[in-house]
Amino acid sequence: MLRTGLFLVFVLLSSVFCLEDATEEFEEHLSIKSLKDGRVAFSFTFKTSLRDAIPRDPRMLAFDNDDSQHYTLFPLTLGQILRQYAITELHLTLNAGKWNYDAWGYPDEPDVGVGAELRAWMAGNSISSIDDRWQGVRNSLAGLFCASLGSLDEQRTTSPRSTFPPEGALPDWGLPHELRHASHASEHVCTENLTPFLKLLPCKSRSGLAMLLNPHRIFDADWHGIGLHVLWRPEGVEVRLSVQLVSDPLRISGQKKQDWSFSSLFDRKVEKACPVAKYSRVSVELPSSGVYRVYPEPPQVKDGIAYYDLKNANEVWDIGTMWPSDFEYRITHLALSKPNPALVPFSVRRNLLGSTQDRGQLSIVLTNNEQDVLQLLYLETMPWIIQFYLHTIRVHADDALRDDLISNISYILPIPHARPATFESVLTLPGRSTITFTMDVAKAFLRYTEHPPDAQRGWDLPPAIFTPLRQSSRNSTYLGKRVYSPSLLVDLATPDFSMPYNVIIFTCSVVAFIFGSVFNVLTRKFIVVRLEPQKRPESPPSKNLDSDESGKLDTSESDVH
Amino acid sequence: MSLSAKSLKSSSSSPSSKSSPMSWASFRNSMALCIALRVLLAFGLEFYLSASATSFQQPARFSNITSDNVYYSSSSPSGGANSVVELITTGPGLLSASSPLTSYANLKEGMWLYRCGVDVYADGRGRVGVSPLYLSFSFLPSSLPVLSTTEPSHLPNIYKFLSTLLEIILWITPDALSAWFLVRIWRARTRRTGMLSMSSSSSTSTSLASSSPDILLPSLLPALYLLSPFHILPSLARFTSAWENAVLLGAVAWGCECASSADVAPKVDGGQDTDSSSSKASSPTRSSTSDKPFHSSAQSKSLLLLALRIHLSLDAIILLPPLVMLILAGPGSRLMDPGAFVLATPSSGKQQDVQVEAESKAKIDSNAKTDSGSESKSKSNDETQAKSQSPLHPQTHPILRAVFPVILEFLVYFAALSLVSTLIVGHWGWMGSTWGASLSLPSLTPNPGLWWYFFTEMFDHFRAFFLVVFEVHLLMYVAPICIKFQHDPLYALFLLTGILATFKPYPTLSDQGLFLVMWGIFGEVYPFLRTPLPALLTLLHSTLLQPLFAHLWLTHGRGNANFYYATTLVGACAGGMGVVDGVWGGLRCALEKGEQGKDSDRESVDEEWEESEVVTQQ
Repeated sequence: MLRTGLFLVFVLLSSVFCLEDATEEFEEHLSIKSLKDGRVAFSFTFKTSLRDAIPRDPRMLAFDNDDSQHYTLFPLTLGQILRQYAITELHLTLNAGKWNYDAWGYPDEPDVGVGAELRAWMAGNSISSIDDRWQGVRNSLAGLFCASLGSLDEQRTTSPRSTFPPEGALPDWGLPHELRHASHASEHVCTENLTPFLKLLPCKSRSGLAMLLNPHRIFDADWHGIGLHVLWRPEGVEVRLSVQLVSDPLRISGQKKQDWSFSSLFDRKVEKACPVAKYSRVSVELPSSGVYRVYPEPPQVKDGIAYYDLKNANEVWDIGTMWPSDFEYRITHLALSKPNPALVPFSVRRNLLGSTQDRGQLSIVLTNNEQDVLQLLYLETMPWIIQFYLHTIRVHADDALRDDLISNISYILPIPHARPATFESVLTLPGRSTITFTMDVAKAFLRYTEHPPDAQRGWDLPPAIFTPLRQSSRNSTYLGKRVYSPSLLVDLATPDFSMPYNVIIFTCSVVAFIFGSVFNVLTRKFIVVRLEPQKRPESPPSKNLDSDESGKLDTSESDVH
Repeated sequence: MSLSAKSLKSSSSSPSSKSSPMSWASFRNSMALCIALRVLLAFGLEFYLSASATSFQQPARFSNITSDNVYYSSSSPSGGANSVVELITTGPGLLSASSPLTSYANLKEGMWLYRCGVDVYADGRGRVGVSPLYLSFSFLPSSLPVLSTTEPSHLPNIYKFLSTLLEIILWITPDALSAWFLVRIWRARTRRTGMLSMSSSSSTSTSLASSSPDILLPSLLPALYLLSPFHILPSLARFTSAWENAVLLGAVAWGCECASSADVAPKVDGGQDTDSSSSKASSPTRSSTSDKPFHSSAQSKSLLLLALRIHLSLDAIILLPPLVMLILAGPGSRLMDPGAFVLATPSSGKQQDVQVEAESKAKIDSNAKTDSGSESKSKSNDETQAKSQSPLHPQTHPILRAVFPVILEFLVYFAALSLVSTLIVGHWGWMGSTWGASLSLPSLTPNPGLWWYFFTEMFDHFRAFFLVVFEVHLLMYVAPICIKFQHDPLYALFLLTGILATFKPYPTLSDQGLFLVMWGIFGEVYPFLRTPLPALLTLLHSTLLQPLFAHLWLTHGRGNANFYYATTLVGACAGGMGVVDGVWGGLRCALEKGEQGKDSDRESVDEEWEESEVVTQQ
């Protein structure tokens, strides 16, 4: 009893002094960027580091001695999940909207695919153990974030290795590490996901930058997404929670002004800094041209970026930018000339052509905005409901057939009702050219129980992912930066959901009818029985047999054969 | 064309004892005419479409505008078909659409993947359900203009032309072969029937041989096969089912000949014309004096082809028992003279007493076995042989002794083909993808059969049960039909073809067409059919409405799946009526014979017999 009391006191003391504990750090950062089309991109990053921690070795899962879960800043609920399933690296994103690379450039967090995307690196000896843990982490995160991550089952799980290299490092345990990746394009982020997300922060949304995360405004933004990234580096485990959104001040203000501020876009201000945060910074990327005013006056400007440190001064922060004139949409770059320079080295358009519900054609149009040859790693993780015909792949470069532009195809066949297809290849884009990739696809016919509740709406297909490969040494800033294409909606043929009973009854009736008729005839024996003429005296003894009443044929008994 | 000419030559080199040279000339003409028509049709369609669709040849064009809302016209899948394959399979809507086992796209995809070294059958549940034997085409050089999986862009138009030409020929060849096999089957049956009627009882003068149009039929049969839309459309769409039909008919044709030619051999030998030493395998063996080599040669071919057919799609396994019976008993029409299963004898002189002896044995036999299980039935059917040839084991049943080597030979071929497939693939996983697809129905693509919508709408927890029920249901017909028609195994085989066309998991138009066209062989049952016209009209109704409703459902989004489903139901009814009528007619024939036998002064039995007069009793 006494020892327990002492222990409790010790725990309390240690938690009091943990603010100075160097093993856990929390820092937050907000980067703000005004976009060409008048929108403003916000990127919140909340980073918690657990120094000198290592992920759990999966071989230790058998021993129930994991007592290292005493966290102060690190989110305990997340830590438990990570320890229980021995996850080395984890990325979960829930996004809504289509990231417009051409107008917005690269996002700060690269994972901007629409819907839910989850991937994890796990060490393990056996595939089954990894698959079991993958299922466990899916379900646990689904519970933690109130998201339908449970639907990221094996029908959506793939392991594309080269597109998703580990962001951190992988511990050298002598065990192979496996990647599991799944995405679900029709899962949308909402308030119910944000609330548990904020609970993972040490200051919740009561202080610090997280005060700005007003659900009404976040989910009103043109593009918004939340992300959770767990990775390990030799220094320790790092959990990064991110919120990205692209707001449109033109729409919110109702005027032609692109002025923005915290209070106008979030309807909130940062009233106090998070006391446990090591850093609490805001960086505003200043517009490259034009007359504008950033307020409050930034204490530090470096490389066209204004930095604010919210921890320095104890005041209410309402950072914003004003323009004296109305916003003019620079329409020229769309139609007449290229934007100079282009924000992204290439642009992607992906479509599913064809109006029938049994066939279609997948078409991808890639435009290289640079002079250099560009090599892209192209990844499709397609549910089995869309079945590729790889032999119909055609690549046209500026209307000329160039099948040499596609190489290094790796393909894992789908299994109906079980496994998606994984298609990876390398596409070569000549400088300043547009290539068109087309491939015929077949659309599957599903069992009626496999259709989603709103079957006529169609199926959201996960986005394709393009990763520039090292090709020219000149411009390497975009190397390895994934580009997500928009998702697709495919219209599958639907059966009549209202009549499973009818179909079963009809078909069984026809089968039974035919079966019965065949066996009825088969079990009969045909015999001719001659009637005695005196029984039917009126019957002529003639030869015609088809005189009906005087027939010489009648029943007689026969054996069942 | 050259191939068909060759086949014509070889077929004309072995005229039957009963058919006149005149009929073979007409057969040749009809065959040539039909093939020419088919080639013309295929070519015309190909080039008409490619000409009309040149504007769609290029993929959708996109301007360099980077806006995402640019509207553009899409290319081929919706705009217009630029090949016949597309037209048939997508255009007017999915005629017997792409069963995963037979579709051309899957064949090409499988070949392409195989050439790229991708394991097509990974995990045994892959999507590409084509048989590994088809994938052996992948060993052809990929630059070959036929079955090429790539589209060389820089090659001139002559390459495309050649490719089209070769593909058309490649897919007309099986139909031409099928037609030729069909005529051979008919000929063997006619000849054999003539033999039987001559040797056993001369009273059956109205047997098929004399009553059927000897001149007309050999020229009609090829036309029936080659010009039937049920075969033209799958061939245009390049379904592999065309080849499967040819393989099956080849198996039946040689199966017919291994018994029948044994009898006829001495007679035909004398009448053999000069080119008897032509290349076709049947000719040299026939000229040899001993019957045994011929017998085993034709039997081997037949069994090998059947093993191949079963390999390509597992459902054909129900045709094995009747084919074994056919090999042993011969194709003669004994519908009018039903009795127990009788082994064919090498010389017609012995026929009679052996028949009598065997008949009595088999009678007991089949009666005893009637209630036993299905698989043992086919064997017990075949049990009647005995033959003084094997005096070593007089105690074993003669039929068993005759059946055993046949089954064994079949199993050897089957195992060899499996081995070849495994060598091609590298592991055993292909079985799950090809045969498993028939059993577990992974693809629910609409087809003229009954399975797809049934299992689309099936509750998940009953799915496995009903899969078993449907499989067993397919097997259930084998034993009764083989028992009831043990006197005429060819007819049993024909009926089972109809069962297969109606009830198999992935039927195509070819299957229905095969059943339809095989009616041509059995002219003797026509007078006794009860509902030929309704059955035919029902089939027509279903066949015409299927593409229409599929198009409405899948392309226009009007109507729904139920319309197409309803037509497949009607189609199943038509198939069922055909089978029932076939059973009825086949059994009814016997009455005819009995009537004739009793008072031979009667000319014939009128066709208008009312059903009430022909009494059947259970």
